[in-house]
Amino acid sequence: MNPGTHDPTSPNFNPRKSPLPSDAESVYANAIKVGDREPGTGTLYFGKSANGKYYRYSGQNGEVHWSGEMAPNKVPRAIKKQLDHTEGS
Amino acid sequence: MIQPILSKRTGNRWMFAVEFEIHFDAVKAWPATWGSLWLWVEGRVVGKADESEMVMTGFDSLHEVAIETGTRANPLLWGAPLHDALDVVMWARYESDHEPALARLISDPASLFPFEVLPRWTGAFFDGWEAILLENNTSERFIYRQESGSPIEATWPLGTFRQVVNEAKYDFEKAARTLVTGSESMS
Repeated sequence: MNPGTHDPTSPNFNPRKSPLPSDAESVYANAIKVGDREPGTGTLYFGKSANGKYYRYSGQNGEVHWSGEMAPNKVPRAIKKQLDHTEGS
Repeated sequence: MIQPILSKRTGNRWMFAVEFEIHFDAVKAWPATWGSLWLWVEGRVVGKADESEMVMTGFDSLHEVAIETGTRANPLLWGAPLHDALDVVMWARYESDHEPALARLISDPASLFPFEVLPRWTGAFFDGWEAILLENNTSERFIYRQESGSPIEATWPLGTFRQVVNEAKYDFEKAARTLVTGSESMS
């Protein structure tokens, strides 16, 4: 996973952005991809951390980066239900 | 500091336009080229013009909205107050603390997905923004708001959104590929 502009140790770090959380990579491993999109479009994933935070990941051509922590009401309902169910199982 | 090496606006910003930048550090990364992307609606900026992201993340989502042009005729939404129309389309996709007024009239929430423009899958470029498109035979209404703000409406000829977005996306792809490869060829 590419840290994008969120990694404070990277020369590409954007100080106006949230710092990359330490669990971004591990949450990505179980993140759910947004489906039903046009062929050839980029990828978007949502994941849920152990402490209940929702993360978004954006990508193009296999290169994915953490793109922010999302409020629960900004995670698509169907994906949130899957993430919450996975957490509870 | 971010160094834009190219910026371009497509459309008439006093009606509807799309503007993008390509940022210096990202030119070798096509199609993961980084930059900024925002909209102009009747002279107002819609989106986070201070965001830097993979530009295609935004364009792909806007393009998906564009190709659904002609599928958004809905008398219920067309006749509803702006905030009710926005609320129910957002409710269809996302969780909400309260059920909006029109929800009880919607048998299949997924039927409202095509009306959502923002945030949809645009990523960080439009965090905090919500927008929908409604259509009749001749015009389309773009209804939008920034989080917790009042909704605003703009109306323009049917197909304007599709035309401007597709032109802007083409311009971006051409520019980004040229910067990386020196060739304008489009696959």
